[in-house]
Amino acid sequence: MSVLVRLYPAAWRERYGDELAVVLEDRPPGPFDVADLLLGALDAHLYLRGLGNRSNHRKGIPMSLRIAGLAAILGGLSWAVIFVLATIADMAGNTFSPEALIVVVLFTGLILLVAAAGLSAFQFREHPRSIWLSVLIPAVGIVMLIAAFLAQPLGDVAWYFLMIGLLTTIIGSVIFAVVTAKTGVLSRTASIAIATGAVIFVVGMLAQYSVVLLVISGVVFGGGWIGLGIDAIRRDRSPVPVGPTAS
Amino acid sequence: MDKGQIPDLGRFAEPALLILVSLTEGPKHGYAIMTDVEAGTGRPMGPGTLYAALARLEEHGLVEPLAPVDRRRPYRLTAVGATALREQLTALSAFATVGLQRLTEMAG
Repeated sequence: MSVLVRLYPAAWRERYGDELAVVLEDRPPGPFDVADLLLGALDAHLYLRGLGNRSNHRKGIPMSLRIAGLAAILGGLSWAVIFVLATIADMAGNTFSPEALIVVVLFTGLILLVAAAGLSAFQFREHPRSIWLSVLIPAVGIVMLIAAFLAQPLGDVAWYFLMIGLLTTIIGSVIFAVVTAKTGVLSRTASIAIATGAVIFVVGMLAQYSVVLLVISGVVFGGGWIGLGIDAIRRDRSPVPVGPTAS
Repeated sequence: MDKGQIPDLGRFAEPALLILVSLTEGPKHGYAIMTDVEAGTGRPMGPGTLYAALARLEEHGLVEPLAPVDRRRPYRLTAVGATALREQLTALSAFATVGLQRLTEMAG
């Protein structure tokens, strides 16, 4: 039985575990499904403890494009603000507090990871390996950012971890953007903006930390994620046909 | 729950409605429901959401499980479920008609 099924409560597994395991055999789970199952297991623990006793649970958190869209908007906004504020602070001769910078980048990385996982549903069937890479690489980056936070007393080491965390988030985002653009279900323009922002970031870093390029990269990259988020939410709000569904 | 109405399932109300509509075609197992909903709406339904909604629907007697076939357990709409679904779709249809009528008046 899948590890994901084992996350559900025993009483729940006894009733639904086998058939859920078969569903996962029929359709190997992508990042969207994994996120959905994690939320489903949490929901089952919170509300289905009284299974068989006619519990009156009413709430729950289904994974949806809306959650992913909101995460993309929040992550994109946060990314753009980090770059603009850090640059303004740098130009004014103030150094951004390393602790604050690491925490904000960690938060942004986590939010963008949620966004990538949630928005992966459409792309996964066609490009499973690339989509898993686009989520797993930034996940490694999140570990690096946590390491950066913990390694602050060591000085420069924390800085290297922070840069690795930033780069992995960007690399994962680029893979995700390319696959999204190829699949063409979500906004191609927003996907291209993410990839373009990433390229400008690398050029800016190579050009001796060019302030202008780094600000542009932050705005374009963050704007791309915001665009994808808006597109996902719009899609989630689209009217649901109430007639017979296609077979 | 009032007779003839789908109970308040909170955030699972929409997935539950989509599952009930899918089952109007006949009994289906989990994977078939997921693919049918995705084909009909253009939006994905994850397995966690599917089974959270199915558990609630079964608990309220709107769907019932059948004997498994090759480890795949089909579900079918119950009479109560069919009545509740009809009630819900009729209400939605009336609501849509009023909205469209108002939009036409606004444009005119």
